[in-house]
Amino acid sequence: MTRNEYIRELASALTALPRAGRREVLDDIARHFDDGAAQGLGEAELCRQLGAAKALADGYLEEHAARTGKAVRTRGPWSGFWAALGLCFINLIIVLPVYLGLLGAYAGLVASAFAMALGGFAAAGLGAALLVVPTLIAYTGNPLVALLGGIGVCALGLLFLLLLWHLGRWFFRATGRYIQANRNVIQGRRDAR
Amino acid sequence: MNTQFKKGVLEMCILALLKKHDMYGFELVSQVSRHVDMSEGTVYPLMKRLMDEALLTTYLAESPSGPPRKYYHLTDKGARAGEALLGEWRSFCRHVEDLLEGAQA
Repeated sequence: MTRNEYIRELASALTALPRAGRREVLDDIARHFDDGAAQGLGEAELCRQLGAAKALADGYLEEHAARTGKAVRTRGPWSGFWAALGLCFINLIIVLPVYLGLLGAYAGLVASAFAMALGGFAAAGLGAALLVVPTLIAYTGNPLVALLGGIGVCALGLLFLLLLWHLGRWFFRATGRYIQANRNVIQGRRDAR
Repeated sequence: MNTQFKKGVLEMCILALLKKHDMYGFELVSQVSRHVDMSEGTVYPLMKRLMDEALLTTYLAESPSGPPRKYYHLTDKGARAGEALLGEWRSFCRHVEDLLEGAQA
């Protein structure tokens, strides 16, 4: 392990300390590496002598907890359970109905866009067929209008489908983020990495 | 060996070493871990605690090699705490020795 790796690991294990205290610890350990190197010791050897960065961090966190009179991690064994219960309630009563509503609206929009594309395609096909064989069905309108209009409607439907596809991707990514946020709350992480 | 006990002994060692002269972090930590079989990482948090309890102070001084060093200095309060711990330690050892001799006889 290199000096930089060690200090990075130590820093990430000390996030619970106040900023100034953390800065000071990292400073002290950086000095340790400086002076060790001046004595001709390699980075790997210095890391080994210091012991695991996690253990060193735990030592500092323990001292900090003893001094401030409270544990750095204030969560009791049941807090995860209560957080899960609370979230379950909120999700069932508020989030789920809204979510299902949005999902339903989305499905409706997709179905309409699909129907538009399909209907337009059928109309265009029929228009084209009438241009070739005018006596195919009893149709008094202009087959050219049916063809061009059908193509237009079909293109519009396809455009809607494309837009909806992007919207859907965003929607499902947002769902994933929401689930991750829930998980963080239950496990007591303040910020997701 | 019990960790709390070892921590107490280590604190006493730090205070005893600094009674002679001020030392910088690396020097102090390697002196302690040379004699006591414990990783150097155990000593740094203890030094932090001793500073918070005002038994030690620090100051920066130039070093012949590299950036300035942070030196640890024993305060009067620290010297008294060190004496008290040493007294306790000596009497503890004496009692344990007595016990062991009695057990062997």
